[in-house]
Amino acid sequence: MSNDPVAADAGVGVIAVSDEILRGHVVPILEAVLYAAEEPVPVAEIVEVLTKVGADQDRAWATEVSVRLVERVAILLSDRLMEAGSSLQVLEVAGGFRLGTRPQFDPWIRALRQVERPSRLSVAALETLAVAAYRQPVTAAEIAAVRGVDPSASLRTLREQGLVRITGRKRAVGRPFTYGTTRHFLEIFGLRDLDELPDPEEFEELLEA
Amino acid sequence: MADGGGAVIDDRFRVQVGEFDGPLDLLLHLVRSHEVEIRHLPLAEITGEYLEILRFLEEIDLDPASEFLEVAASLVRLKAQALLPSPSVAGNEALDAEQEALLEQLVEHQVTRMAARDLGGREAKAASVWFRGEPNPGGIAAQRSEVVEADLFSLVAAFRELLTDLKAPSLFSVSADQYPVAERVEALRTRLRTGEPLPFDELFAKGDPRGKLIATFLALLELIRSGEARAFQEASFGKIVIFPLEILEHAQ
Repeated sequence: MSNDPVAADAGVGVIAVSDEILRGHVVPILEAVLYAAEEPVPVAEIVEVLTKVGADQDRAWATEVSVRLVERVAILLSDRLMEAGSSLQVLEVAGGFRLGTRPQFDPWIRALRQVERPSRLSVAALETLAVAAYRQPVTAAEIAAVRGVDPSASLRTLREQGLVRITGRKRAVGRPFTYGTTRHFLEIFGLRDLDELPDPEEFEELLEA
Repeated sequence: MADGGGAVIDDRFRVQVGEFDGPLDLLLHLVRSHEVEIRHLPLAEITGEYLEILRFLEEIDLDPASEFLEVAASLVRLKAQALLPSPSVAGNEALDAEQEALLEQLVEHQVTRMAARDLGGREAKAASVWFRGEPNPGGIAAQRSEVVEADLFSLVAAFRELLTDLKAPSLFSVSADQYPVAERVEALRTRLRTGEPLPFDELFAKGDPRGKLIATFLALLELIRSGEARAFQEASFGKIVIFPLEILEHAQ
């Protein structure tokens, strides 16, 4: 679950820079970058920034920056925030890192922003979205077969909200459009990637329990 | 339907059941009310209830789409098979296959619903985390996580119960245009405009004639369909509460 803080065992491996140096020099840079960003920052972009600016500033670690190193830095930042009792956390969403508040601070922020409303998606839309997420690329007719209801209205809503997009056409009679989920979908649902969704078999086992 | 005793409803507000939920949802609703596992569904028993609800839907001027009738036909065939000694083994096998197919479809549908609920939970959880520069991530408030959206058949079931409780006089004395749905939609809209959630039972006044109650129910469905209101329920079969959605949110 990517809405959980970055997992402590991710990204272990050979990193040529000691944790001590990372903590002292690189962690604050990542914190600043994530603080300033308004969207998840892809790991590749962080690698690029650290390498380039690090070289410009003659930092010894600049030549050692890798995806693995960035992941390690994210864990160290996550640990530091936790130990300091910060209300912020590092999250891995839609293939990038971002800083967000911890869930227990939700009521305060919600009151400040005066938001109090139900989820923006109806059950019908969520069901269509679930079929699209699990079976993509999938046609409207295939979704209708699973749900027993015509999904065109839900598909329109989901496309308007940027959660679902047309991914192509199926090689079948009438060449129907196929649908799939978007990157925005991952962000809204706090997912690192589609593999993070539970296996459908888990649900079936629950049924038989 | 429209030409029968229930000709209370003007056609502009004809609500198709299929716009909300399909026959599989109705079957799952019955499965839940029996508290049995899908694969052990007493099909013969459920057939009667299924047909009864279809009749009720027609009585209150809701159009069950043709898919509902197809499933009804399947159920009746299966029930007949269970009651009668079978004329041929081949016929029996075809019916077994039909039953198997129906149950498989139900299981798959239930799995989809669970996946949808899982997604809803993730959205709610993700919405309790805030980011800079993101004014409105939305999501149901964390403290309301036990609340689920009420599906059509939960609303229909609650309405049936309410009609029985109120012992509302039948439609006979009602003239055709006495309770236009358009008017009830306006009245409901006005009540929702206060921005406060409304308990489902409070939408219906005790002394109201049946025709008015039905028109109010259809008006509620119309507002849900148009996205102006959402119905939520405290877990399955719990109390239903109607939430107004602000026009602004609807537009985004």
